[in-house]
Amino acid sequence: MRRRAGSLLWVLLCVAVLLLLALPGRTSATTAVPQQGDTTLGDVTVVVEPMSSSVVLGDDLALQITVANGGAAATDPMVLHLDILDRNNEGSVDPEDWTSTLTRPIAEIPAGGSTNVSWTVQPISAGTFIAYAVVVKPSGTGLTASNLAEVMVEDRRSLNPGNILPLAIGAPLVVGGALALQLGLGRRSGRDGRRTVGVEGSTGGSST
Amino acid sequence: MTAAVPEARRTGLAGNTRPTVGWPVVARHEIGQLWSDGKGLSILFGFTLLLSILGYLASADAGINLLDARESVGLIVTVSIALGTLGAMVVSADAISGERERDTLEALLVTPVPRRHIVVGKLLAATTVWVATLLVALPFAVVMAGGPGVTRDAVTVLLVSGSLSAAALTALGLAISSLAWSNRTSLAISLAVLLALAAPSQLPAVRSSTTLGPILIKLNPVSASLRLAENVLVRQEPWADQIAFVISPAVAAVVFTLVAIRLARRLELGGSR
Repeated sequence: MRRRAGSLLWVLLCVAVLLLLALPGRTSATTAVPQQGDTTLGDVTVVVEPMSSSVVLGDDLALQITVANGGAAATDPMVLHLDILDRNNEGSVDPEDWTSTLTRPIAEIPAGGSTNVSWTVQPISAGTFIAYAVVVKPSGTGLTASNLAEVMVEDRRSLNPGNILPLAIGAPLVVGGALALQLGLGRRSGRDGRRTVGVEGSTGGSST
Repeated sequence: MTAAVPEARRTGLAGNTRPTVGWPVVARHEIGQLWSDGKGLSILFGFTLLLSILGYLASADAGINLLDARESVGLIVTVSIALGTLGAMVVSADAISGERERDTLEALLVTPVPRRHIVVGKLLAATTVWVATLLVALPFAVVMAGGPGVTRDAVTVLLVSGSLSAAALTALGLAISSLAWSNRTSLAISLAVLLALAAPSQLPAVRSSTTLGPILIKLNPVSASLRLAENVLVRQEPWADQIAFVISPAVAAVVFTLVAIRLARRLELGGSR
């Protein structure tokens, strides 16, 4: 009898554990909330083109961003945001260095329609970067991210930018040379003066 | 300056009971001494070296479009005004107190040259530091401008704004030097005054203020000069709108020069104190 009661207790414990595991947790409940009411954003796609591009440091690069609405209803006004990542350093760069505007408003897009945005950026350092864009609804919490567009920036080095090199080297050389000459002459005349004084002193000494 | 004494005698100034026009003699000697003993060239060399490094870096940035040509020229012109003014002020701050400290002021004061002529001569000599920095800065501005319009603006800003600012602060440095009993004190006060005048225009709170900020900048001769350079060269504002930024440097140049000349009457040896 005692053995049957123990088995029953074990069965009850296992059922209780299974029931606890089967209950929905708080985390899954909270993650489900933002998706409510964001169904329109779910039909929005963002594409950044060209998918891969190469540019020389200092030159402009025009990114074409297409925001399309694949849903059955028009979208609300949205905000398009551009971001840049440095792939080589596995860190982020400051996108404000690349472009003066980081966000742009997107007006309502009708069902099946799309909006094209041309975004000119100017890389400030060489390397391989990733550009991507996201759209968000100001009123909602969801977002749609674009593909990752690769931007390869080739370094450009010039030893004589703006033909300044001859002046940048020549001006200090001329002034420094004049200073060195002056200091040298001053030292020499000082030595000569001391020598003259010495000669005169010895002459005077012998005469007396 | 002791070398001015024999020349004053040679030119007939000594023994003449009536005060004679002696400022050309003083100016000639001061200029000769400034540029022959290595002091002037040392200041100019430091300025030229710094301007070369800055000019190269700014041109490199402009070469990869990080800076606009006007921005790079604006930087060079602003730095030239600030450093040229500083150099002239340092020389003028040493003019009287340095003589006093080296015990050569007495020999200078016994010459029949009126004291205000001594001050005027020293003022003109210190101003040559600004003229020299201007001569060094002009080629940089011309090469970096890359166009006749920017070149004209840069040269005009340097000539008008820079010269007025330099004249004002050179006279102020000389006035401080007349009052200070040690060279160290004179230099310290002059540099502190220059810093106090230049700093407000760089403070974000003053720059962003729409009420008090513009007034403070216009009243201050140094910040007015620097702002004029920025307005004309970087923001491309018309010259007609810049009158307010010329008034305070011009007034300061006249007032400080008069103060320096006025203080010349009270020149004392300082040994008794």
